[in-house]
Amino acid sequence: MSAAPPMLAVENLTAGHGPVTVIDGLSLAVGAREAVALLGPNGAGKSTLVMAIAGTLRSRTGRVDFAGRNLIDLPPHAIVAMGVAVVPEGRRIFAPLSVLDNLHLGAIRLPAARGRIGERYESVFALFPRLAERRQQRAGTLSGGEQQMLAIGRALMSAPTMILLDEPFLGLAPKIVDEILATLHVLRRAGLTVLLVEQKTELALNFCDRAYVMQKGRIVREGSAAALAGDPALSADYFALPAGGPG
Amino acid sequence: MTDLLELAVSILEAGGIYALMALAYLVVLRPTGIINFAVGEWATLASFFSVATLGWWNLPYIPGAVLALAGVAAIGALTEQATVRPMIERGAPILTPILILLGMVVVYREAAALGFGTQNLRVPPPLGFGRIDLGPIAIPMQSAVVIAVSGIMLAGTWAFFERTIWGKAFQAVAIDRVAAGLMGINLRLVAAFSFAGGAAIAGTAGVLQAPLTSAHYLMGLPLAIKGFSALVIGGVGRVEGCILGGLVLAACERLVMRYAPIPSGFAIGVPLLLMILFLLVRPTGLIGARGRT
Ligand SMILES: Nc1ncnc2c1ncn2[C@@H]1O[C@H](COP(=O)(O)OP(=O)(O)OP(=O)(O)O)[C@@H](O)[C@H]1O
Ligand SMILES: [Mg+2]
Repeated sequence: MSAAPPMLAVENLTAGHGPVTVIDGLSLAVGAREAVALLGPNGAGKSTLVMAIAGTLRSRTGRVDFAGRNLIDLPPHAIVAMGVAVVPEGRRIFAPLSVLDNLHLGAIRLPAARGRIGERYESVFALFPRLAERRQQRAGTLSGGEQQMLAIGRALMSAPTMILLDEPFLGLAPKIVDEILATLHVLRRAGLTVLLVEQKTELALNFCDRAYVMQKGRIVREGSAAALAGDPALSADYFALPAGGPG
Repeated sequence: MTDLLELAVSILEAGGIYALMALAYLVVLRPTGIINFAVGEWATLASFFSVATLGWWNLPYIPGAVLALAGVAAIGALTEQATVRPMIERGAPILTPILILLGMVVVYREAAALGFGTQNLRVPPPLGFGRIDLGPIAIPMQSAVVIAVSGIMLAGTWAFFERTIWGKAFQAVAIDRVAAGLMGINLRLVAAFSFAGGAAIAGTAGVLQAPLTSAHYLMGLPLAIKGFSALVIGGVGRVEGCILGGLVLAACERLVMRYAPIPSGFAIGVPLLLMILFLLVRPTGLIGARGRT
């Protein structure tokens, strides 16, 4: 990590919702082809950070360098075009539209240099065969797990080089979690850079190389997944400790 | 029989214009959340522009009408840039642009009166004053033009929303703005296009109406009211709702005019009564937005 510049470097980022500052002077970095976890309790500001990187928050200052370019003043559509895709918290698929339409919309910024839309459909359907079977179905009628697959597939349609996943396993059965994890492993091997926001510490540390722990809008701990996994302070109920919570 | 057929033609004619006005509201409302009461004035401006292009400059009908529509579309997009966008980007509540556009009604209307005067201006009908013989009835040429053009415009807009990816992108913005932005949909472009498109659609209604009643700087208000009623009746969701709402409204209005023993001036109250009825009994309209029930 010391030689090559990181793929994503967030420096001294301050962001919030309107006048409310949630993230205060935060810095983190994700190297190319790395998988990094972002852990933290409810209300720590993880989703706010994801939205600030993606450009959907109006009030943000600092630097967000991606592939050598500062994204801080770019609108979301320009950031997607640079190769950053987001799977937002709560999936946010377009429920009234068909599976196919949802995927097509994911490719609306697909640069010609990164592939043709037909190839993108093929690769997403190869990763999630269940979506292929249900391509004409209305997205809102999919099961929770299928909706999450669609949210990930839709993000992949833009052929991103980096994907930000905000709590993609929330409310899913263990079997589906394993299925999606297996797919994420495939994507990692194919070279995708991942920032995974999670509250399930063990699951995230098993999947990722490194992790940051966030509290009240700041990074309070960082390290390799192995080091953090052995840290007794970071047990499952760490986030439930009164001192650790937001309130 | 002849009577009924003529009635049907007049319902199709008025319904087409009302449907276009309803659609002008919808095209702006769905992606931006803004109820834009300036649509009536957009119709007025376009019909005055057609006075200039067709009446004064004697352009052939299609280029003249297209030029008038392009003019009002540009005004729609500029209005969005100049008045709506700065407010939204400063985080103003959605009521702010709605009120600003209500103010723009006065600006547009006074500008139209200044530029074109306050008298009625005649607009030549594209195919003259003749009639088309259709067996038992003869349809006035301009009725046929109104029905054909509004039909093409409504079908074209339907096809845009249902059959093209950019139409789906508009729908996506209406469903979830933030998620649409994350897909890479340019939200500013969608807003600008929705205003330009809304203006062109309302403008089409104005250009079609002008040869029937002359262009006048106050012609926008009744069109705005009827369009809004048609939107409420049909349901704020899809193009089909606008068409149905326009036809239902026109049918009620024409039937009342013909058969009810009230002075025809009272027919102006029909859309308002129908709208109130629908708001009380079926606030979602006849056809709601997809995915909502
Ligand atoms: N749209 C919003 N407007 C105002 N405040 C918000 C908004 N969204 C989040 N917040 C506030 O920002 C803070 C951080 O929220 P955020 O959603 O980023 O936390 P999080 O770490 O993602 O939590 P969770 O694990 O529950 O998803 C919270 O105090 C929250 O109340
Ligand atoms: Mg969150």
